[in-house]
Amino acid sequence: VTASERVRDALEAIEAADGALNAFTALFPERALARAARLDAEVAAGRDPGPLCGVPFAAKNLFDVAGVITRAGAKVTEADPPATRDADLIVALERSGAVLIGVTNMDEFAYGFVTENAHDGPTHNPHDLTRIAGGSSGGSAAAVAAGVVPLALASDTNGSIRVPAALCGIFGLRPTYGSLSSRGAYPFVELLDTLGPFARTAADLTAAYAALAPAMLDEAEPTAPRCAYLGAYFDEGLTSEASAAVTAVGAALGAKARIALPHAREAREAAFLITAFEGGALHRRRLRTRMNDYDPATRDRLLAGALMPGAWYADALRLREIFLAEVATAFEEWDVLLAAATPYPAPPIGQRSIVVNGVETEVRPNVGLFTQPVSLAAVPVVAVPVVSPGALPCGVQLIGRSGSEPLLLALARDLERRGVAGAGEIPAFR
Amino acid sequence: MDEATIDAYVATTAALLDMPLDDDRRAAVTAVMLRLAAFASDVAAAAHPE
Repeated sequence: VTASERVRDALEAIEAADGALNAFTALFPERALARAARLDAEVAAGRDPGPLCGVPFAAKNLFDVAGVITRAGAKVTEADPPATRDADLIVALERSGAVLIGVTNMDEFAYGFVTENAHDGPTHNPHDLTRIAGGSSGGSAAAVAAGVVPLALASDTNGSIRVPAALCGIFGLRPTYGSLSSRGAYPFVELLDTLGPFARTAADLTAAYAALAPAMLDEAEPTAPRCAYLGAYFDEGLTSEASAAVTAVGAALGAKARIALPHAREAREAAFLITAFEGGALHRRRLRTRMNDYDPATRDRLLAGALMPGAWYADALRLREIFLAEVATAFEEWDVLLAAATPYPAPPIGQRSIVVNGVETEVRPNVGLFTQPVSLAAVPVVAVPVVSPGALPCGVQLIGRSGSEPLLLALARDLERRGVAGAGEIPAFR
Repeated sequence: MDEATIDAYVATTAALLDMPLDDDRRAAVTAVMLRLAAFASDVAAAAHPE
């Protein structure tokens, strides 16, 4: 199959599916077909364009694409000047032969867990179109889950890769904080922002990571990793489906111990404060003149963040240091920690609250209950999907120490090979 | 921290930063700030143990 054929197939699949999904906000058929033709010419000339030759991929619409305005899911960015060059991670994937095909829907400025964007509409979950895809990278996750592209780029500040990966039933990687270039990605929270890939298979996720961070995969992997469940805070407010997914993955990895991170709750709260403060500071000038053009779901939180006392931010930074030490201590004894990616499978679009174990909680701030504290720890996480027939997907976080992406990816491949984790088929989109 | 205190803080700080809020916006931002205040209280207690 030529690169041109693969790109044309992907464009046709998107044309057929995106009316239902609303995953894409812009497509670049001319750019993609021109690049595919160049790749085919290289192959015809006997050269190897790379391991991802002709693989079409999407990127969340906060990644710079040369000649295109980087919207980051917002209306207030629509008159910004177009990007002058591609984001570094797009360049890295294309250097391995992949082909950017379009950009995808997201929560405005990545501030959300639902991808119910007021300007671009909600992205629909391919497993059940009445339900959310999760966020904030919902468009990228839905596109991969539906199989219209095998790879997509996304960002994860508080869980925006892990949450939609879980709800859409695909693999997602939040790499070690600071390990990949963020140049050319619209910023949100400097202390937490991390970019990474989605894929339908663990092998594809590994291939994407190899293209993004070629040196990292050379590192040695422990032969018998020691795995433990995260308990206490991570056991609360969990549905039986999400709990069963964690247990299945833990059993397959030989986890028996259940450990606590004593300040997990405060770590999540600190992540909330850091996010509000940095996000608010970033948008303060624009909010002053354009606040009514912001997504209502984002605006009031950014406004509050812009007005938040600096002392609260300073306390959150201090708590971060305490939590980092706690996590480092846990990794002296364990190689991998396990936790649910979300407390529950995908809720219906528009649903404001959900009852879990008899307790009613708000959906929007709580989908990321288990991802937010982990973000503060700055460590890598692979979200693996657990999809049971007839049920909605759940996700499990494989959390490792800094730089342990090779181990986490190897475990994800092993879990997939053994049938414990995997994306499963969605007949309507295959 | 009570709602009236937060509301007064929001109004004052918004004026200080030249971000005037109408009544609806001010009420919405106060509601968010109340949540942040509750988190900040927990975080401060953990970050500065007695």
